[in-house]
Amino acid sequence: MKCARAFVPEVMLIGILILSGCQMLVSRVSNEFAENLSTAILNSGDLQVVEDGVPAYLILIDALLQQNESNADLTLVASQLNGSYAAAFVFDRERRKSLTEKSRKLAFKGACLKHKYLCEIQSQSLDGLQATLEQLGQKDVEVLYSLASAWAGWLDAHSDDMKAIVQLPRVRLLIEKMLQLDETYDNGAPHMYMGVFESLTPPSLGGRPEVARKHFLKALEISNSQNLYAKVLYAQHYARMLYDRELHDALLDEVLEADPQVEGYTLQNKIAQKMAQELISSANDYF
Amino acid sequence: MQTTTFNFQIQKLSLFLCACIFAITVESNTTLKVATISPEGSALMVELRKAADEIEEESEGRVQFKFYAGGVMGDDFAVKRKMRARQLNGGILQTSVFTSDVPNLNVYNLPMQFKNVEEVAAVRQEMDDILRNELEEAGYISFGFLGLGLAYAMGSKPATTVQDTRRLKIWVPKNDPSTELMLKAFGVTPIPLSTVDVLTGLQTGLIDTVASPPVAAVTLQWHTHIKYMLDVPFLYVFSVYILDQRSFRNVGVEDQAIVRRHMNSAMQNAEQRGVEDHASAFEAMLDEGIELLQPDEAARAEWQRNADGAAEEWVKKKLVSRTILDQFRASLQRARRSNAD
Repeated sequence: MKCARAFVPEVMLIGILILSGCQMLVSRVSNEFAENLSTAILNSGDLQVVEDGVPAYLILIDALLQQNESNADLTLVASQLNGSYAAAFVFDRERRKSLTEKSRKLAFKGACLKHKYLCEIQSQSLDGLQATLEQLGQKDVEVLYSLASAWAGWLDAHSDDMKAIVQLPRVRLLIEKMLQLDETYDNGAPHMYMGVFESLTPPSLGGRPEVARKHFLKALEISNSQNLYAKVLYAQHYARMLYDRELHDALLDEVLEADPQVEGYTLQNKIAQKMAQELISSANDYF
Repeated sequence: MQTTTFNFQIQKLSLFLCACIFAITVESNTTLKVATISPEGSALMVELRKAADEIEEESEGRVQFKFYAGGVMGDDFAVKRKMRARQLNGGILQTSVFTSDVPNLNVYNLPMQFKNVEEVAAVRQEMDDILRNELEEAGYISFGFLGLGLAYAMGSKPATTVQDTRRLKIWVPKNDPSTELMLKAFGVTPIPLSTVDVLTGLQTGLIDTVASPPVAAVTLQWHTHIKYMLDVPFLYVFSVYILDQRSFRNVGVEDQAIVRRHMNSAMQNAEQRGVEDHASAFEAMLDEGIELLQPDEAARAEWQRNADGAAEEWVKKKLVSRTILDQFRASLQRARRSNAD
């Protein structure tokens, strides 16, 4: 019943995160350069180039952090870059654990730098965390999303550890707050996260697949079905949990048939297509 | 003469057909369909899928497995029915599903006999084979047992004595005679609910206490409604990996050995991981601020008296045999002496 890997999401939107990360980082040097760099990464159709190139920025941003320890934006960008890179390109379990741990620590620090009342959220009880989140408003969506995505990424990498799984309700609270503040944020990503969370427990153990489905469909609606990642996660988590081969294959076929060249989403779509291909290859073994 | 020749030809043809059928039986590919309530991605499923890949490779594709995880084939009793109907070939199921065939499987479920997982491991090392043999005699192939851990009473209200506990609204899984028997030993009248409804039951107050291994409580997020846990391990919860014997006979003898070797190994690996998860989940619940209640000496003695009385009651009701109970107690004593050394 443990549920280890099944109990945590695999949701990272590398393209979007790299975009925001690069924009914030490089804007200190040159706005024009930032725009060009982020656009180039986001619209890159070559995953290998991005995989090879991002580590250089991880080192660069570490160096910048040493000089700007109290810079909240930079700290949150560092968190996003580390977490996104780990989720998209790092498959060695220990290395992934290490990078997501770093990402989460930076997210906590960045959040603390933004608001003092966020400094203790890691150790707060569920009730305490809920009360803290009540203080967040529309202007805090970015920091909230940074926290939620870093914590979820950490949880995914540590899904073999019961001490991590016990924290899942906290991450859910963050995403629920995101839904409350801005359900459309990051192309409907809050709904995508909730779709995954609701797919973690099979119906026989109290899961609510109908709720999961609604969240996935909402994420697709918000993104005009251009969020190929949402379709892949819908297939991977929902369709596989219910052993719905027809839906699984239909979703993945749509992903593979879609043109990945969408302004601002090319990299993300390419990653989604790679995942779709892998899921199709393993489908006969699974179903 | 012609008739005799004809009969002889028929006999030869029959023998030939039999030989062909036999050849087809042992040489053709076999897909074994196995269901469990464990979710996809769990340590168990990871190990099973790995073992299935190894079996397929080593048997050169003659034996394949299809797994149905997360209870998609229904609850454990439904899986057993589907095994009988040959819609499924096996399952990793709660042992209470098979206690009607092999009552002695109840022996590990005797309330409050195990003090810790070390005792469980020592006793199981001596007794698992005995129970597996009984399962095989009853028509099942078994690849071993998988412990989910020791179940503790945990809930939103504190209780340390038997009397206090009887006032709680305690959940018992529907169709789980082992847990029901265990609770009856303490005079508790539990509230039967399907596992699906436990979280809602805790949220609405329909129930306020569950007896569950920490791993299940954390994984299913029940811990978010739990404030207290009684430091008394009530019950050992475990599953058994069963294949229907008729299905297994369709696999060639050499391939049977391959299947047994890899699946036994998968269960051992999952078991090891389960022991680690049990300890980790227990600690995680305490880290979350759940208070561990310690009954005083008198209360603890009362718990134990009720539990020990249940063992004799179970023998009288033929829920376990006297022989197996004696073997169990002797094994437990050896484990305790060994741990004390």
